[in-house]
Amino acid sequence: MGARTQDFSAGAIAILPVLVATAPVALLFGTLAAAKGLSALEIWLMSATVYAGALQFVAIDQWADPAPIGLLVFTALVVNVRHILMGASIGRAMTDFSRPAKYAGMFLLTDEGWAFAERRVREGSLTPAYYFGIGVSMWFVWTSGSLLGAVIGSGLGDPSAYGFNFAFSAVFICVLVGFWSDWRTGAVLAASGAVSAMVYLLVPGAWYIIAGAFAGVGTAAALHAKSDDQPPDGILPS
Amino acid sequence: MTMDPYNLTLILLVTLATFAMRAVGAVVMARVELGPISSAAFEAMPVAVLTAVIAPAVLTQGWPEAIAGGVAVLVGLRAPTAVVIVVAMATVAAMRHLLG
Repeated sequence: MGARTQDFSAGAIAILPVLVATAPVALLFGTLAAAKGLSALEIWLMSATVYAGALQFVAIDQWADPAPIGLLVFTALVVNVRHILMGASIGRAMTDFSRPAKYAGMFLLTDEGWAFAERRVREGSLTPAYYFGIGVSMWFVWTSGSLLGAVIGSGLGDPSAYGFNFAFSAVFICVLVGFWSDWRTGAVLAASGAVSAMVYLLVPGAWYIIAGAFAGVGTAAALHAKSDDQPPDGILPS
Repeated sequence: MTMDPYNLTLILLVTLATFAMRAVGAVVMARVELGPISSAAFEAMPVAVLTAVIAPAVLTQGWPEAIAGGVAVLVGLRAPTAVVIVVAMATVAAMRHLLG
Protein backbone atom coordinates (compact mmCIF):
# COMPACT_ATOMS: atom_id res chain seq x y z
CA MET A 1 0.00 0.00 0.00
CA GLY A 2 2.76 2.43 1.01
CA ALA A 3 4.90 1.59 -2.01
CA ARG A 4 1.91 1.87 -4.31
CA THR A 5 0.93 5.31 -3.00
CA GLN A 6 4.54 6.37 -3.34
CA ASP A 7 4.72 5.18 -6.95
CA PHE A 8 1.40 6.83 -7.81
CA SER A 9 2.67 10.14 -6.41
CA ALA A 10 6.00 9.73 -8.20
CA GLY A 11 4.14 9.38 -11.52
CA ALA A 12 1.90 12.36 -10.82
CA ILE A 13 4.90 14.50 -9.79
CA ALA A 14 6.93 13.48 -12.85
CA ILE A 15 4.12 14.56 -15.18
CA LEU A 16 3.41 17.81 -13.28
CA PRO A 17 5.17 20.14 -15.76
CA VAL A 18 3.06 18.60 -18.53
CA LEU A 19 -0.11 19.14 -16.50
CA VAL A 20 0.73 22.84 -16.17
CA ALA A 21 1.14 23.11 -19.95
CA THR A 22 -2.01 21.02 -20.60
CA ALA A 23 -4.39 23.10 -18.49
CA PRO A 24 -4.58 26.16 -20.80
CA VAL A 25 -4.92 23.90 -23.85
CA ALA A 26 -7.84 22.11 -22.18
CA LEU A 27 -9.45 25.48 -21.39
CA LEU A 28 -9.06 26.49 -25.03
CA PHE A 29 -10.65 23.25 -26.21
CA GLY A 30 -13.65 23.86 -23.94
CA THR A 31 -14.17 27.40 -25.22
CA LEU A 32 -13.83 26.41 -28.90
CA ALA A 33 -16.24 23.49 -28.50
CA ALA A 34 -18.75 25.71 -26.69
CA ALA A 35 -18.50 28.22 -29.53
CA LYS A 36 -19.47 25.39 -31.95
CA GLY A 37 -22.66 24.85 -29.97
CA LEU A 38 -21.83 21.79 -27.86
CA SER A 39 -23.24 21.75 -24.35
CA ALA A 40 -20.92 21.69 -21.34
CA LEU A 41 -21.97 18.11 -20.60
CA GLU A 42 -21.21 17.00 -24.16
CA ILE A 43 -17.81 18.71 -24.01
CA TRP A 44 -16.94 17.05 -20.70
CA LEU A 45 -18.07 13.66 -22.02
CA MET A 46 -15.99 14.01 -25.16
CA SER A 47 -12.90 14.91 -23.14
CA ALA A 48 -13.58 12.10 -20.65
CA THR A 49 -14.16 9.28 -23.17
CA VAL A 50 -12.50 10.26 -26.45
CA TYR A 51 -9.65 11.75 -24.37
CA ALA A 52 -7.35 12.64 -27.26
CA GLY A 53 -6.27 16.27 -27.44
CA ALA A 54 -5.13 16.61 -31.03
CA LEU A 55 -8.07 14.62 -32.37
CA GLN A 56 -10.59 16.62 -30.35
CA PHE A 57 -9.33 19.88 -31.86
CA VAL A 58 -9.62 18.38 -35.36
CA ALA A 59 -13.13 17.08 -34.59
CA ILE A 60 -14.31 20.44 -33.27
CA ASP A 61 -12.83 22.14 -36.32
CA GLN A 62 -14.92 19.87 -38.60
CA TRP A 63 -18.00 20.02 -36.38
CA ALA A 64 -21.20 21.06 -38.12
CA ASP A 65 -24.90 20.60 -37.48
CA PRO A 66 -25.42 17.69 -37.96
CA ALA A 67 -21.82 16.60 -37.39
CA PRO A 68 -20.40 14.27 -40.10
CA ILE A 69 -20.17 10.90 -38.27
CA GLY A 70 -18.32 8.92 -40.95
CA LEU A 71 -15.72 11.63 -41.48
CA LEU A 72 -15.11 12.06 -37.76
CA VAL A 73 -14.74 8.33 -37.05
CA PHE A 74 -12.35 7.97 -40.00
CA THR A 75 -10.38 11.00 -38.77
CA ALA A 76 -10.21 9.44 -35.30
CA LEU A 77 -8.69 6.28 -36.74
CA VAL A 78 -6.15 8.11 -38.91
CA VAL A 79 -5.09 10.73 -36.35
CA ASN A 80 -4.58 8.07 -33.67
CA VAL A 81 -2.87 5.32 -35.70
CA ARG A 82 0.30 6.36 -33.85
CA HIS A 83 -1.24 4.93 -30.66
CA ILE A 84 -0.94 1.43 -32.15
CA LEU A 85 2.83 1.91 -32.23
CA MET A 86 2.95 3.49 -28.76
CA GLY A 87 0.73 0.76 -27.31
CA ALA A 88 2.81 -1.97 -28.96
CA SER A 89 5.94 -0.54 -27.37
CA ILE A 90 4.70 0.22 -23.84
CA GLY A 91 2.48 -2.88 -23.76
CA ARG A 92 5.61 -5.03 -23.69
CA ALA A 93 6.72 -3.30 -20.48
CA MET A 94 3.36 -3.82 -18.74
CA THR A 95 4.30 -7.19 -17.29
CA ASP A 96 2.98 -6.32 -13.79
CA PHE A 97 -0.42 -5.20 -15.10
CA SER A 98 -3.55 -7.31 -14.70
CA ARG A 99 -5.68 -7.59 -17.83
CA PRO A 100 -8.26 -4.98 -16.70
CA ALA A 101 -5.43 -2.66 -15.60
CA LYS A 102 -3.86 -3.02 -19.02
CA TYR A 103 -7.07 -2.03 -20.79
CA ALA A 104 -7.62 0.86 -18.37
CA GLY A 105 -4.04 1.90 -18.94
CA MET A 106 -4.52 1.87 -22.70
CA PHE A 107 -7.68 3.94 -22.35
CA LEU A 108 -5.54 6.57 -20.58
CA LEU A 109 -2.76 6.47 -23.20
CA THR A 110 -1.60 9.91 -24.35
CA ASP A 111 1.53 10.97 -26.23
CA GLU A 112 2.96 12.75 -23.20
CA GLY A 113 1.99 10.09 -20.66
CA TRP A 114 3.40 7.41 -22.94
CA ALA A 115 6.71 9.27 -23.26
CA PHE A 116 7.06 9.51 -19.47
CA ALA A 117 6.11 5.85 -19.04
CA GLU A 118 8.78 4.83 -21.58
CA ARG A 119 11.29 6.96 -19.69
CA ARG A 120 10.36 5.07 -16.51
CA VAL A 121 10.91 1.76 -18.32
CA ARG A 122 14.43 2.91 -19.24
CA GLU A 123 15.13 3.81 -15.61
CA GLY A 124 14.05 0.48 -14.18
CA SER A 125 10.54 -0.92 -14.26
CA LEU A 126 7.08 0.48 -14.79
CA THR A 127 4.57 -0.31 -12.02
CA PRO A 128 0.82 0.09 -12.55
CA ALA A 129 0.73 2.65 -9.70
CA TYR A 130 3.31 4.87 -11.42
CA TYR A 131 1.53 4.56 -14.77
CA PHE A 132 -1.84 5.48 -13.28
CA GLY A 133 -0.23 8.34 -11.32
CA ILE A 134 0.60 9.79 -14.74
CA GLY A 135 -2.62 8.77 -16.50
CA VAL A 136 -5.22 9.65 -13.88
CA SER A 137 -3.75 13.09 -13.16
CA MET A 138 -3.61 13.89 -16.88
CA TRP A 139 -7.19 12.70 -17.36
CA PHE A 140 -8.34 14.83 -14.43
CA VAL A 141 -6.63 17.98 -15.71
CA TRP A 142 -7.86 17.49 -19.30
CA THR A 143 -11.49 16.84 -18.33
CA SER A 144 -11.76 19.58 -15.68
CA GLY A 145 -9.94 22.06 -17.93
CA SER A 146 -12.30 21.42 -20.86
CA LEU A 147 -15.36 21.66 -18.60
CA LEU A 148 -14.12 24.92 -17.09
CA GLY A 149 -13.40 26.31 -20.57
CA ALA A 150 -16.90 25.31 -21.72
CA VAL A 151 -18.50 27.03 -18.73
CA ILE A 152 -16.53 30.29 -18.72
CA GLY A 153 -16.58 30.54 -22.51
CA SER A 154 -14.33 32.54 -24.78
CA GLY A 155 -12.20 35.50 -23.79
CA LEU A 156 -9.06 33.57 -22.89
CA GLY A 157 -7.21 34.28 -26.09
CA ASP A 158 -5.18 31.75 -28.01
CA PRO A 159 -2.57 29.83 -25.95
CA SER A 160 -0.44 29.42 -29.08
CA ALA A 161 0.15 33.18 -28.93
CA TYR A 162 2.05 32.58 -25.69
CA GLY A 163 4.05 29.66 -27.09
CA PHE A 164 2.01 27.00 -25.28
CA ASN A 165 1.92 24.78 -28.34
CA PHE A 166 5.69 24.65 -28.20
CA ALA A 167 5.62 23.48 -24.57
CA PHE A 168 4.73 19.98 -25.76
CA SER A 169 7.62 19.90 -28.23
CA ALA A 170 9.91 20.89 -25.33
CA VAL A 171 8.55 18.03 -23.21
CA PHE A 172 9.21 15.49 -25.95
CA ILE A 173 12.71 16.87 -26.55
CA CYS A 174 13.48 16.37 -22.83
CA VAL A 175 12.35 12.75 -22.99
CA LEU A 176 14.34 12.18 -26.20
CA VAL A 177 17.51 13.58 -24.63
CA GLY A 178 17.15 10.98 -21.87
CA PHE A 179 16.84 8.21 -24.46
CA TRP A 180 20.22 8.92 -26.04
CA SER A 181 22.54 5.92 -25.88
CA ASP A 182 24.96 5.95 -28.84
CA TRP A 183 25.35 6.96 -32.48
CA ARG A 184 22.59 4.53 -33.46
CA THR A 185 20.13 6.68 -31.52
CA GLY A 186 21.28 9.59 -33.68
CA ALA A 187 20.72 7.57 -36.87
CA VAL A 188 17.17 6.61 -35.79
CA LEU A 189 16.46 10.20 -34.80
CA ALA A 190 17.76 11.64 -38.07
CA ALA A 191 15.85 9.15 -40.25
CA SER A 192 12.62 9.57 -38.33
CA GLY A 193 12.85 13.37 -38.12
CA ALA A 194 13.76 13.91 -41.76
CA VAL A 195 11.07 11.58 -43.14
CA SER A 196 8.42 12.93 -40.77
CA ALA A 197 9.14 16.57 -41.69
CA MET A 198 9.18 15.77 -45.42
CA VAL A 199 5.93 13.77 -45.36
CA TYR A 200 4.32 16.50 -43.25
CA LEU A 201 5.12 19.04 -45.95
CA LEU A 202 4.04 16.82 -48.86
CA VAL A 203 1.08 14.74 -47.63
CA PRO A 204 -2.02 16.14 -45.92
CA GLY A 205 -3.22 14.50 -42.69
CA ALA A 206 -1.36 12.82 -39.86
CA TRP A 207 0.54 10.25 -41.96
CA TYR A 208 3.86 11.92 -41.21
CA ILE A 209 3.99 10.24 -37.78
CA ILE A 210 3.64 6.73 -39.20
CA ALA A 211 6.07 7.44 -42.05
CA GLY A 212 8.69 8.92 -39.73
CA ALA A 213 8.25 6.15 -37.15
CA PHE A 214 8.75 3.42 -39.76
CA ALA A 215 11.81 5.20 -41.17
CA GLY A 216 13.34 5.30 -37.67
CA VAL A 217 12.42 1.73 -36.78
CA GLY A 218 13.61 0.49 -40.17
CA THR A 219 16.94 2.26 -39.64
CA ALA A 220 17.35 0.54 -36.27
CA ALA A 221 16.57 -2.85 -37.80
CA ALA A 222 18.99 -2.28 -40.71
CA LEU A 223 21.78 -1.18 -38.36
CA HIS A 224 21.23 -4.23 -36.18
CA ALA A 225 21.27 -6.51 -39.22
CA LYS A 226 24.69 -5.10 -40.15
CA SER A 227 25.58 -5.72 -36.53
CA ASP A 228 29.05 -4.33 -35.95
CA ASP A 229 30.02 -2.01 -33.14
CA GLN A 230 32.06 0.43 -35.21
CA PRO A 231 30.16 3.28 -36.83
CA PRO A 232 30.44 3.10 -40.61
CA ASP A 233 32.53 5.82 -42.30
CA GLY A 234 30.75 9.11 -42.53
CA ILE A 235 28.35 8.54 -39.64
CA LEU A 236 29.71 9.99 -36.46
CA PRO A 237 28.04 10.37 -33.08
CA SER A 238 26.89 13.94 -32.87
CA MET B 1 -26.96 20.69 -19.19
CA THR B 2 -28.20 18.99 -22.33
CA MET B 3 -27.14 15.87 -24.18
CA ASP B 4 -28.24 15.57 -27.77
CA PRO B 5 -28.74 11.86 -28.71
CA TYR B 6 -27.04 12.39 -32.06
CA ASN B 7 -24.02 14.02 -30.45
CA LEU B 8 -23.93 11.31 -27.78
CA THR B 9 -23.85 8.59 -30.45
CA LEU B 10 -21.10 10.43 -32.30
CA ILE B 11 -18.97 10.89 -29.18
CA LEU B 12 -19.31 7.21 -28.30
CA LEU B 13 -18.38 6.07 -31.83
CA VAL B 14 -15.29 8.28 -31.85
CA THR B 15 -14.44 6.93 -28.37
CA LEU B 16 -14.61 3.37 -29.74
CA ALA B 17 -12.33 4.31 -32.65
CA THR B 18 -9.72 5.95 -30.41
CA PHE B 19 -9.83 3.12 -27.86
CA ALA B 20 -9.36 0.54 -30.62
CA MET B 21 -6.19 2.31 -31.76
CA ARG B 22 -4.88 2.43 -28.20
CA ALA B 23 -5.67 -1.17 -27.26
CA VAL B 24 -4.77 -3.03 -30.43
CA GLY B 25 -1.03 -2.42 -30.25
CA ALA B 26 -0.65 -3.31 -26.59
CA VAL B 27 -2.83 -6.41 -26.68
CA VAL B 28 -1.76 -7.95 -29.98
CA MET B 29 1.91 -6.99 -30.16
CA ALA B 30 2.72 -7.87 -26.56
CA ARG B 31 2.07 -11.52 -27.42
CA VAL B 32 4.28 -11.69 -30.49
CA GLU B 33 7.66 -13.39 -30.01
CA LEU B 34 10.45 -11.29 -31.46
CA GLY B 35 13.76 -12.25 -33.07
CA PRO B 36 16.91 -10.16 -32.57
CA ILE B 37 16.30 -7.79 -35.47
CA SER B 38 12.67 -7.09 -34.62
CA SER B 39 13.73 -6.63 -30.98
CA ALA B 40 16.15 -3.94 -32.09
CA ALA B 41 13.36 -2.36 -34.12
CA PHE B 42 11.04 -2.39 -31.09
CA GLU B 43 13.68 -0.90 -28.83
CA ALA B 44 14.02 2.00 -31.25
CA MET B 45 10.27 2.63 -31.35
CA PRO B 46 10.04 5.23 -28.55
CA VAL B 47 12.75 7.39 -30.13
CA ALA B 48 11.39 6.89 -33.66
CA VAL B 49 7.75 7.68 -32.76
CA LEU B 50 8.58 10.61 -30.48
CA THR B 51 10.84 12.17 -33.11
CA ALA B 52 8.20 11.70 -35.80
CA VAL B 53 5.53 13.34 -33.62
CA ILE B 54 7.52 16.54 -32.99
CA ALA B 55 9.70 16.90 -36.12
CA PRO B 56 7.21 19.05 -38.09
CA ALA B 57 6.54 21.35 -35.12
CA VAL B 58 10.26 21.90 -34.59
CA LEU B 59 11.68 21.77 -38.13
CA THR B 60 9.02 23.12 -40.50
CA GLN B 61 7.51 26.10 -38.68
CA GLY B 62 10.35 28.56 -39.13
CA TRP B 63 13.50 29.75 -37.35
CA PRO B 64 11.96 30.60 -33.92
CA GLU B 65 10.77 26.98 -33.40
CA ALA B 66 13.94 25.44 -34.84
CA ILE B 67 16.18 27.60 -32.65
CA ALA B 68 14.04 26.93 -29.57
CA GLY B 69 14.25 23.20 -30.35
CA GLY B 70 18.06 23.41 -30.34
CA VAL B 71 18.01 25.40 -27.10
CA ALA B 72 15.67 22.79 -25.55
CA VAL B 73 18.15 20.01 -26.42
CA LEU B 74 21.06 21.89 -24.82
CA VAL B 75 19.13 22.89 -21.69
CA GLY B 76 17.58 19.40 -21.49
CA LEU B 77 21.03 17.85 -21.09
CA ARG B 78 21.27 19.38 -17.60
CA ALA B 79 17.96 20.87 -16.44
CA PRO B 80 14.65 19.24 -15.40
CA THR B 81 11.62 19.21 -17.72
CA ALA B 82 9.84 22.17 -16.10
CA VAL B 83 12.86 24.44 -16.69
CA VAL B 84 13.20 23.27 -20.29
CA ILE B 85 9.52 24.06 -20.98
CA VAL B 86 9.85 27.59 -19.64
CA VAL B 87 13.13 28.27 -21.46
CA ALA B 88 11.81 26.83 -24.75
CA MET B 89 8.58 28.85 -24.60
CA ALA B 90 10.52 32.02 -23.76
CA THR B 91 12.91 31.34 -26.65
CA VAL B 92 10.05 30.88 -29.13
CA ALA B 93 8.39 34.09 -27.95
CA ALA B 94 11.66 36.07 -28.02
CA MET B 95 12.66 34.75 -31.45
CA ARG B 96 9.23 35.50 -32.91
CA HIS B 97 9.58 39.01 -31.58
CA LEU B 98 13.13 39.42 -32.93
CA LEU B 99 12.70 37.67 -36.28
CA GLY B 100 9.12 38.14 -37.13
